Amino acid sequence: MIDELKKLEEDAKTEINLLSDPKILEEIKIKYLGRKGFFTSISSRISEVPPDQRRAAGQEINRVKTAIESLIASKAQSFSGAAGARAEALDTTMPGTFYATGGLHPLTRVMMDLTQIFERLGFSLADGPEAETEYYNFEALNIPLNHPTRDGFDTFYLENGKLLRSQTSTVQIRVMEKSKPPLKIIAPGKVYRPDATDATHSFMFHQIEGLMVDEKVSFADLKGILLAFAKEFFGADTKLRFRPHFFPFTEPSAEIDILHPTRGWLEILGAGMVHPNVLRSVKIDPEKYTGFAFGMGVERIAMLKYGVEDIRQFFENDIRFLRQF
Amino acid sequence: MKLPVSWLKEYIQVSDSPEKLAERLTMSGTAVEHVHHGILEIEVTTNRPDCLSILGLAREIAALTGKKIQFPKISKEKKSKNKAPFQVKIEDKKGCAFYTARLIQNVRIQNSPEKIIQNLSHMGSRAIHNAVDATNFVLFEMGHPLHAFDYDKIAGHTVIVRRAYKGEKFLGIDGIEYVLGEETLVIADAEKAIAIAGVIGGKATEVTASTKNILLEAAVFDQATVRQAAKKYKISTESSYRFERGVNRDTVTLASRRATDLIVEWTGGSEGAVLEISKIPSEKQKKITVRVSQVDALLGFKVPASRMIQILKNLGIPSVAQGVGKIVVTPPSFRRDITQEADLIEEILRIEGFDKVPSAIPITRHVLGNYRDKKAPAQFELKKFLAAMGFQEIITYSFLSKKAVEDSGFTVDSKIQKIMNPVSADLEYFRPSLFTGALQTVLFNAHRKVSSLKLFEIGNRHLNGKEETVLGITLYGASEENWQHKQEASFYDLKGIVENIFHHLQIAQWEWKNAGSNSIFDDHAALFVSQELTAGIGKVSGTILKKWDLTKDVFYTEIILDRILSEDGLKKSSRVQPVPKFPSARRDVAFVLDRAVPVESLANLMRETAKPFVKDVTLFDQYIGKNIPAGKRSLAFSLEYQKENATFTDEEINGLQRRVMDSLKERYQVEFRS
Repeated sequence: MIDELKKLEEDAKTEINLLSDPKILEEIKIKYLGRKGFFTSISSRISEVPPDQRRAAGQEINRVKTAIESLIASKAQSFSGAAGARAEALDTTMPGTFYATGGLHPLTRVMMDLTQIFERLGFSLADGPEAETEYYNFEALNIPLNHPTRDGFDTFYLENGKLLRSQTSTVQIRVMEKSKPPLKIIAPGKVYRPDATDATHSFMFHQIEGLMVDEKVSFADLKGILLAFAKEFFGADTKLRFRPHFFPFTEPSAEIDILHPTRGWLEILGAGMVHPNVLRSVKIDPEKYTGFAFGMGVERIAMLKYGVEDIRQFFENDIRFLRQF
Repeated sequence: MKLPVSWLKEYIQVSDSPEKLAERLTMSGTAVEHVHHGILEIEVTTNRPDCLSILGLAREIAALTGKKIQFPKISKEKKSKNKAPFQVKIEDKKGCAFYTARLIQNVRIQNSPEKIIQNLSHMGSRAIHNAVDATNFVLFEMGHPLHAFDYDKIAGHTVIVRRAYKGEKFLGIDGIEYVLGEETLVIADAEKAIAIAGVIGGKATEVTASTKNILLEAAVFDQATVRQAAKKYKISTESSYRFERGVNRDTVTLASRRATDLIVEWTGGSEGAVLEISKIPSEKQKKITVRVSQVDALLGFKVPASRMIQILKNLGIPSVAQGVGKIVVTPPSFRRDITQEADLIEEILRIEGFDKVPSAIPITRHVLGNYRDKKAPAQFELKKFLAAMGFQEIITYSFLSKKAVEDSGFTVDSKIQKIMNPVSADLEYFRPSLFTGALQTVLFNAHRKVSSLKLFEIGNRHLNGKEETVLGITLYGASEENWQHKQEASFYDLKGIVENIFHHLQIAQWEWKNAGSNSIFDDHAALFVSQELTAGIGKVSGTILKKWDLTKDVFYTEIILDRILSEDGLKKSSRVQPVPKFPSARRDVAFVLDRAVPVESLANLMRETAKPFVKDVTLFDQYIGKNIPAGKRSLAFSLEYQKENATFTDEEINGLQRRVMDSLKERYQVEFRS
């Protein structure tokens, strides 16, 4: 019997210690100490104990009862204590004070998202200088001197005779000069054009240029790549429209529109098959290799994606604007 | 270029609505920007000057619909027996390859027929009188710019095509007097310039109500020469616009005849002598062979050869099948843009329609060339790292005003690149540093009640004739500011950030040197990597803060990324070092010493003394103030001892610590605190 009482004490201890809900404490009290509880059922069997051991058993009965009662009492107190006023109580509504993280500029975010999509499609990142020569910005790209075609690519000139690239297509030439096909590159960067600044134009903006050159690259490949990109970036039900256009460095050339839910078709990309003259200028045989190139304005895409209305907000660096990204 | 559907219908049957026609044109490469009252506004790309006329656009529509064009009836040239009573001299054959002048006598200048006035007004051109209207009508109809002179006002009845004399004065029909440059091509009479070739006519020979005889000019002027003149004198006319893009040499005479017919009809005049001078013969375009297989390969789908021929023929491009899989094409004179196979593939595709092209994902073949850029991906990684450290990325303009450059501590001299054609005086210099943009950003936000900022920008600067990619980091106000902690930013915050970056980039060694004050910093450090100056870092000078009206301290550093990212910007995959098997032991030491002794020297001495057991020496406190004599400071270091193959006994540690203390005492006369 003494052993049974000891076990009962142990069980009660374990059960009470694990308890976290004050409502259940009352049930436990009844279970152990109630009129039909475990304790009563054991202690009522005192008559079965041999007479010479009854005294010890009686003492043990009292001890265990007191022990269980005090366990329950102290647990009850711990519950009421938690609910009451404690010296180190937390005010969970006070502001957290760990350092805030910083953030990326929305244009960087868009450039990263875009380049990552193309990297998954097998393109590698590339870069080139902003100050360029006539050769890389115009000549090698099949843009004739003194021709209205140049109007679309007006440039800033520096005192040292260089110009600031007006498109990231310059990177195409730099890469193809260094390496021969197969090539797949994606090149984000800053470009400059002497445009009057307004809500949708800026003299400085960012472009992403893509280029693939290999044997048997076709317009169908260009279409597939751009569709894969658009669906991943803008959503799986994105619709694209390819419109014939003219660019000096591609042929055939196209402008690509995206269907906007309220604004209709919006132009987001220029693309085409690399012009044979461009391949010739970097000594790649256009009979053996073909390729495609595309370019897009990062600001335009960021404006579309985030609902930014004025391109100048990107360069104002108002922290209240930047923290939203 | 405007296309009034009513005028178009005089040459070709159109069954589509203007909107539907606009859609079809747009989707075949002739972009219609909008449609208004039956007039299509078209953006003609620079490679297609042939579309700068109603008949040219009719050709596009013919290709789309298969309908035939009804060309206007033009009378045949009548052989005149009389010798021309005027002369034409071309002195500059590069500028003028071909020139025709025709005399039309006894004209009566009055208003044009009502329908013509309306046609011109649809084109956005104001009717003047029947003679000039006839030239404008032909310009829009056929795309050929023409000019009518008052014959009797041409001095010496002589027309000379020559370059202007230096400083030669010319009064345009726009009433503006132009002072001409020697590179400008002019039409002159015996005395003076009477027109800027292909750009604008002159007041002196303008056809007016009293004009009796007309000399009609039709010519081919050099594209670049006309463009230069139009740009130089800032005159853009319907004429210069077309000459710049190139006119069809082979139909100049036809246009002249068409205009003559109209002038004769509308003015009641009579046709006189004509002079035609060809300085450079018309060039026949080379035949081009189109390989059907090449078209299919480039487009990624099959177009039957017969369909290709049909498309080209509808575009007015003569094409015949030759043998199996080949088409021989003779580019017509109005399509000088067609010079190779690719040009014809484009024609076929744009008429066939982009919708027919399937989409495919190309395979990626293993890259052979080593074009992988190390800097570009590393920049993205670095940006993410800085953002995670609590910095906000900014992107500022690369162009600055002179004042902004100077106010940021730079001297505007030959080290700084000036922009030769700035859009405004505020944007005249390419930034020599990202510092100015950082200050502008701080100021902008400080004005909006922002009290502290942690900013970074990665971008290119132009200094000392070099374009470099740099990282600028700015701390403004507190480095930490909340109800628990308040901490003003300091040099050491910025130093810690830079070292974090270096650890992140796994740069093994660098060196800080005290660099004193300069035009930017009150006090600053120079950072050297492989003995090369890689960054300046410090507290921005009070002078600059005052110029920018900033009241709180600014800490700034600019790291030349080209130095540290160029060769191996991406994180290396490092081999793992084994974790020590035995516990290390820590002992602290605190002492007072001369303030001038650098912490690094002390740390080095401690490391050296207890070599090789000191794993780490960390400064954990500096105290200057009460109870510390002037010129001294109290420093506290924590030393971590580690043995590779055993645990230290207390005795061993105490022995090492005693050696360390002794050497500090001996070398720097420190006084220990307990």
